[in-house]
Amino acid sequence: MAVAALRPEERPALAVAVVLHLALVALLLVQPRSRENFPIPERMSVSLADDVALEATGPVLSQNAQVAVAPTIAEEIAPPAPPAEPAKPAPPVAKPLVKPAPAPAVSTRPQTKPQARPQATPAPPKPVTKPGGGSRLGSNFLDGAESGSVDANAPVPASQIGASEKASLAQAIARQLKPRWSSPQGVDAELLVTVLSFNLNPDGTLAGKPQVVSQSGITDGNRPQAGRHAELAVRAVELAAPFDLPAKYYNAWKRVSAFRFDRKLSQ
Amino acid sequence: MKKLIFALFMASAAPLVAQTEVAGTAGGGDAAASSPATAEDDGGLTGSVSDEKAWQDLGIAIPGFSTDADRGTAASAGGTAALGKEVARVITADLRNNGLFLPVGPDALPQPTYPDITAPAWQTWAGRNADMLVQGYVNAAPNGTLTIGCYLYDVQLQSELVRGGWTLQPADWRRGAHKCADLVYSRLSGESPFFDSKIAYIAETGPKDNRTKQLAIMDSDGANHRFITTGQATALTPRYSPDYQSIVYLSYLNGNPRIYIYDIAAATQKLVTQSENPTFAPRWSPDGKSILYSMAVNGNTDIYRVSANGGPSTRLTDTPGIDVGGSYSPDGTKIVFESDRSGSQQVYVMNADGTNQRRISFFGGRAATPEWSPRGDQIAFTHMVGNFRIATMNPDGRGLTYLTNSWQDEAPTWAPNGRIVQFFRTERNSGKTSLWQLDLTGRNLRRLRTPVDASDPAWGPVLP
Repeated sequence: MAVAALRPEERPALAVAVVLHLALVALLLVQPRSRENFPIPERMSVSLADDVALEATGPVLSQNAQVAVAPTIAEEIAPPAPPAEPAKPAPPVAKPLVKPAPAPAVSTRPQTKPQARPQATPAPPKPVTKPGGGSRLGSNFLDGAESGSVDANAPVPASQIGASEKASLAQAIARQLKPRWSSPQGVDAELLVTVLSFNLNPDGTLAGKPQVVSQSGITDGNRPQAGRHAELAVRAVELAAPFDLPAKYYNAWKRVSAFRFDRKLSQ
Repeated sequence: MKKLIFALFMASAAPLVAQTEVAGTAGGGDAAASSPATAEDDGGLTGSVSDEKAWQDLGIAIPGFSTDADRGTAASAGGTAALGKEVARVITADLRNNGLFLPVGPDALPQPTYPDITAPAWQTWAGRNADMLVQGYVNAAPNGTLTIGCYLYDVQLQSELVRGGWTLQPADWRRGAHKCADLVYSRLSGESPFFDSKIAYIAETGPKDNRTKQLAIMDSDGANHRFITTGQATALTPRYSPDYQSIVYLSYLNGNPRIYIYDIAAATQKLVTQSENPTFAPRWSPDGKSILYSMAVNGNTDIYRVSANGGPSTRLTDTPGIDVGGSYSPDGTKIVFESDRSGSQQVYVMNADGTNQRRISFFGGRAATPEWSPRGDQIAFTHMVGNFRIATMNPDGRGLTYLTNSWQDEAPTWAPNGRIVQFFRTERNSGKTSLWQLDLTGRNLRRLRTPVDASDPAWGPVLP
């Protein structure tokens, strides 16, 4: 009935509409699957740092650990070894490995193969001056691989001595100076500031005499005390030396370029 | 469709990208700005140390002075060995009264031997908690003159700071001790010396309403005290001449206030200027060639200048009212004085010829008895607001600093080094007067012992 009521040109249109709706439903059913793949951003933590160092000051661990070297004990102490004459020490096995310079008795001449030694020992002139110790060359020597850092026990240096370390060092010096430092009395003497520089030896003693870099706060009233102020500051440094400071930061405290001596109560 | 969505997303995100770029450039600018600051120092360590301890007195050990041979001397009954101990006692007293030091005298210390003087036994002194060590010797020459040597050592650094030696007549042996104290004081404080100087003052005796006032002199430590006048005529406001040969002062001889110059060596005195009018408040010029004084003519008091050898006077001020107490600046180009031309006592400054008179004290209350420091950087005066207080100011009238706060302190004068002010203090009820000294810092107030009550102190310059 209803179909009969339709005009002939509406039938195909209706069919097309039904098909298109079905297609739309199908498309909507398919779409959510692709949406599930949409990447959800991962939770990230944000720290608000207001102070960012320009340079890394943390210690850098050594990239290449030292190659293990087996200790070997020398059978005998090597004689002084007349260097000129020895004829072909030449363990044949070693030959292809290293071409030593024709000049004999290069002291660093490597001994590569342990099994070459029994053959070498009968040959009396031993050009190697190193009495014992294992080889520092790895088995991958020929491949060009490096043998690692030489001294793995040395303290690992930081790339830079940081500001906090320097501040602690300055405080350590100030702590040791404080009992020795007393400013002169006089009119306006509390305004005086003396800046000294001095160099230190690794044992904490003074290298040379402290130098006055600058003085400030000099007025007509305290001018007579200015010289005495600087003299007492130098005296404080001389009395406080040798300074007790950590040796591994010696590079930071070997030169104290500007140390202020003043008398400022509660400032 | 997706392209459209992407395009929409990009359109909304573009401002964000732009923002991050801006932030990036801003950060770069910061880095560029901070790098010169780090490049400024040469890589060494920097730091600071302050001295928050209370001012502490410097410990000084002063053992008895040694002698090469114990000879008899006119200066001491016990010979030069006993004199050496006495010299050390005088030095100890000088430095103790100064307030900056904590000296330990010869009676509590081991006596060093003569060779020890130039090579101190450091362990002995380091163990006694002494920062500084003063050693010396007293040698007597066959003709009786004394040679006093003085060495100052830093015990902790084990180094010699300064040394000095003087040859003196036996009667002047105390001057040798004062010279040594001066040497130590000036080396350790940076100031000019002042112990080897003399003080003139007015000794007061008798009841409050009938005081006898005599002129008296003594060394800066109170020794060698001597009365100059008998007290028949009241004496006031003495001032030593710069060469110590004479004292100018005001005397009410015959009932009239007149200025006299007293010659110490000859024990004679002469009138400065012949006048029927009362004259007062005399002061020397720094070169000792002329004298400033005030003279009242018909109720109008003005400041005059006259040559120390007599002659005509020059009138410097001509305003109505009382102008008194002129005091020269150390270079002799200016005069500070007191005037009531504005209605109350105030401090004024003028050139040495009387021109360019201007008021410099604007502190409220009254300001009187100005005295220019020998160093020229300060003027001490009496500020009267209720109590009388000693105060200082700069020569331009700024920088008022009160030094004392008592009932009645007045008439400040300066030590030769311009670092210590001397004044006299009157007690509230008894009217007793005494001499006091005070550092310019306001610390180290101490009383100068005098045999009787004392007022109007005047310090002479350091002896050559």
